[in-house]
Amino acid sequence: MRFPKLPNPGLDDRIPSHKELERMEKEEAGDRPKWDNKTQYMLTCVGFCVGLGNVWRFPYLCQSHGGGAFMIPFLILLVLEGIPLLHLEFAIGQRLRKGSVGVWGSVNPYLTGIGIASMLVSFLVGMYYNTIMAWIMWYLFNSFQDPLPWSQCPLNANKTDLVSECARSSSVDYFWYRETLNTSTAIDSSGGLQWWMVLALVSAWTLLYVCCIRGIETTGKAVYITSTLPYLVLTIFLIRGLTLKGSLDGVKFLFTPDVNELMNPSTWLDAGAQVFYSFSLAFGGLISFSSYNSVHNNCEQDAVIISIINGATSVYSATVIYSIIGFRATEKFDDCADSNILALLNAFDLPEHSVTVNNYEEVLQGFNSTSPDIIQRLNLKTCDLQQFLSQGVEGTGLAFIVFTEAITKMPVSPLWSILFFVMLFCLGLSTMFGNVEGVVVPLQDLNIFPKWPKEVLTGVTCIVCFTIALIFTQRSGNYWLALFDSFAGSIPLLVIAFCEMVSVVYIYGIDRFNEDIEFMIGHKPNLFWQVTWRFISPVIMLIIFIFYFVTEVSGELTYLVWDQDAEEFPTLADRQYPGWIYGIIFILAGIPSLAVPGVAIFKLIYNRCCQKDSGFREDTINSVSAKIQMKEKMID
Amino acid sequence: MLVWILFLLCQVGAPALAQDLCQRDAPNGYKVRISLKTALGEDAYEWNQSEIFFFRATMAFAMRRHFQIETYNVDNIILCVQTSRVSFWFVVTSPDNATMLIPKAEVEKAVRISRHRINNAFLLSDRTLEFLGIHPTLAVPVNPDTPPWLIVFGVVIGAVCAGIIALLVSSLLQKRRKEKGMTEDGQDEEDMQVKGVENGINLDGTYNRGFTDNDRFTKL
Repeated sequence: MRFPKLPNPGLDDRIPSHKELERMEKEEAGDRPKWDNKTQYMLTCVGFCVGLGNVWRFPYLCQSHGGGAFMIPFLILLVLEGIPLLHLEFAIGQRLRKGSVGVWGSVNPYLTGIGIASMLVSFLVGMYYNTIMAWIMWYLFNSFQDPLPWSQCPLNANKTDLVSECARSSSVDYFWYRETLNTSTAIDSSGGLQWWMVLALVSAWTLLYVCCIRGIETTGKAVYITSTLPYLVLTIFLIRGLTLKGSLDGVKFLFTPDVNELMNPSTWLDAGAQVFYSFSLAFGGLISFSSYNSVHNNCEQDAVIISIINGATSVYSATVIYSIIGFRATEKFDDCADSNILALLNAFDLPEHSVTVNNYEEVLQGFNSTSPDIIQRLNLKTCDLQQFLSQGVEGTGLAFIVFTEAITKMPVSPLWSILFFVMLFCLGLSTMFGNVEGVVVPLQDLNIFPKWPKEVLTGVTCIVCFTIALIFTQRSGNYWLALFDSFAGSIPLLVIAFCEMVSVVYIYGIDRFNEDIEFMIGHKPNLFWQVTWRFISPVIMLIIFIFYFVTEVSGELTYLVWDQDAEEFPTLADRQYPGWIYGIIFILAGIPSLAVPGVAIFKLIYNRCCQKDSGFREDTINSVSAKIQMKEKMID
Repeated sequence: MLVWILFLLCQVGAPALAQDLCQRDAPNGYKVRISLKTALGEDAYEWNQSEIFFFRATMAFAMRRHFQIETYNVDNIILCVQTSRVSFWFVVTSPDNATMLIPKAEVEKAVRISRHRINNAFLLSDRTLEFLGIHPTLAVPVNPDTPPWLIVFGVVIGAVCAGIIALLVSSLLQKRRKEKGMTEDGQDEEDMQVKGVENGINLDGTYNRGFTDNDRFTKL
């Protein structure tokens, strides 16, 4: 019994048959680029999947959703959602041997919208992701000095005291919000471009261009470094971290399981979303990379290996991050306790070292009963190690505030700072390779600029992205970036991934897909793949999408600002978005998502009205034999 | 007898007078707080009478240095309210009149000028030898003329631009070489066709170029 599928006429004309694939393989025909070796391919895919999210999103999720217990939903959803989707993208790319637009256009011309949506999402995400790279480069450039510029507050104009904004918050906060971003207080006060940020952005885009200039020919060489260096640095940090005081407290805090969190649906939702975004699915980059493989490459094995590496990297980097966070929290706790003890000693003129951390409580009780008013005036702070450990540690806050603070407390800080930011840079750069691939290859497939060589196309893409990304170098740039991050990189991807699964299973036909895989790797996909592709993964995607959509649409849309005059300063204050932001949100999230049905409708109308009088159907022009030029001499 | 009573009174009165001058929260006095164990740890010395004498001598030196006169002596520095913290109050009397105190502002100036010498005398720092009310001058953070980040940025941009130019030039050269190769091949084919094909052996096509169909039109 064949699995039900929608009618899809002309499919055989649009895709190369198995015989043609064999012939292409043997004669190495076609001008499609190829990987130099399997290692390059694996390193590129690992680099694309392993990114900044593994370092600064997963550890936070793990710790806030019950520590060790979070591994359970994470691993379950990795197996049920991540691996099947990954295998699907690898297999379809390897079979149809085109980028995302080409693949979905071959499956059915009305599905070209999926490829275009992938291209738009890669474009939007690439723009803001490379701005984060610019920030990382800025910190990297500033790490070549001792003492590090974020370790001390500058003096005010009179040289009598520290700058008040810095004294009220901290030197790392000040360096991030003032000297790096020079942030304004609201998203609509633009404040002009900050020249140092523009320079950093220039360096990020030119470095990306030089690595992507010839497509996988150059990125394939670059990934030898960008994909392996992060692991080396993580190991160095792990060894250094474990020798610091308090690091084991951090690791314990991370992994202490709280099984009650498993009852909370948001834990499962966050785990699903993290698995999905962590695999860089639906960007189109993975389909592209896979299409450069030889036809009989074992994509099933690749999918499993890359998923395992991705999951293991998340856990490993979480351990490293939290060992350093444990160290920082212990330092802060010690500072807090010491300042309390000093206040007590000074107030009551007690000899030094008479009050230590051990007898602090009893001494305080004693004095509280005899002279409570003096104790009141002292304003003693409560020092709680758990509170220091759980301080806002995800995203840019983790990298640029918490971790940089921890680094200033380590001996030979500039070295650790350089290592850390080089690692972040490599993690981000290898992800950007996939993004650029996801934009440039669809442009080539769509044949919009037919005569342009790849170098020029890549260059133009970089320049256009750079120009639009200048909005992130304004004083309000950080708020724009958060906006892009929440909307451009979330909902559209879920829509695209769901459409991809449905297209392959129901429009391409899961039976044909199974036969293709049998042709490529030698055996049919087993029951696990069948069940997950047909039912489980699409259902999971749908559930996550619905929940995301409902939470975004129902809640008030607010964002956090750094406002000196706010009451909560130095904590970030909540502000409501202005009205016109909803238009921007629609552009970011709506247009890529609506491209999927939109292009289909457009093609339908175009075919119905404009192709009625022409003699031949579009399909025949799109056939394979017209495109592939065999190396036989053509006789005129 | 009278002289002896006067002498006794002086012996008793002078310290009492001194005690009146120096007291907790004295208007012209300063509180000093010393944290020996924090500063020196294991090598901390004991705060005893000799150290107090040393302090008084250092302060007298500071006053001499400030006023540029050499009349100040150890007796002019009076300490009181000493605790085990170690902290105490001190006042400075004028060398001319033992009952007159030097105003607070002058003492502060004297301390500021000689702060570094005073700290070093006791192997302490601004943080561990505190004069409550006299704030230490803050160390100016080092500000180099060219920010170091610009230098690193320049190096990186230079390397990247060199890389881009090198790759683009090599692409162009490759393309030109390919085009040259192709036109040469094309020329060979044309030569073969012009030179005359004996029986079409060179081309494995089905069309024999040697055959021309225009016999019908030419009249010999």
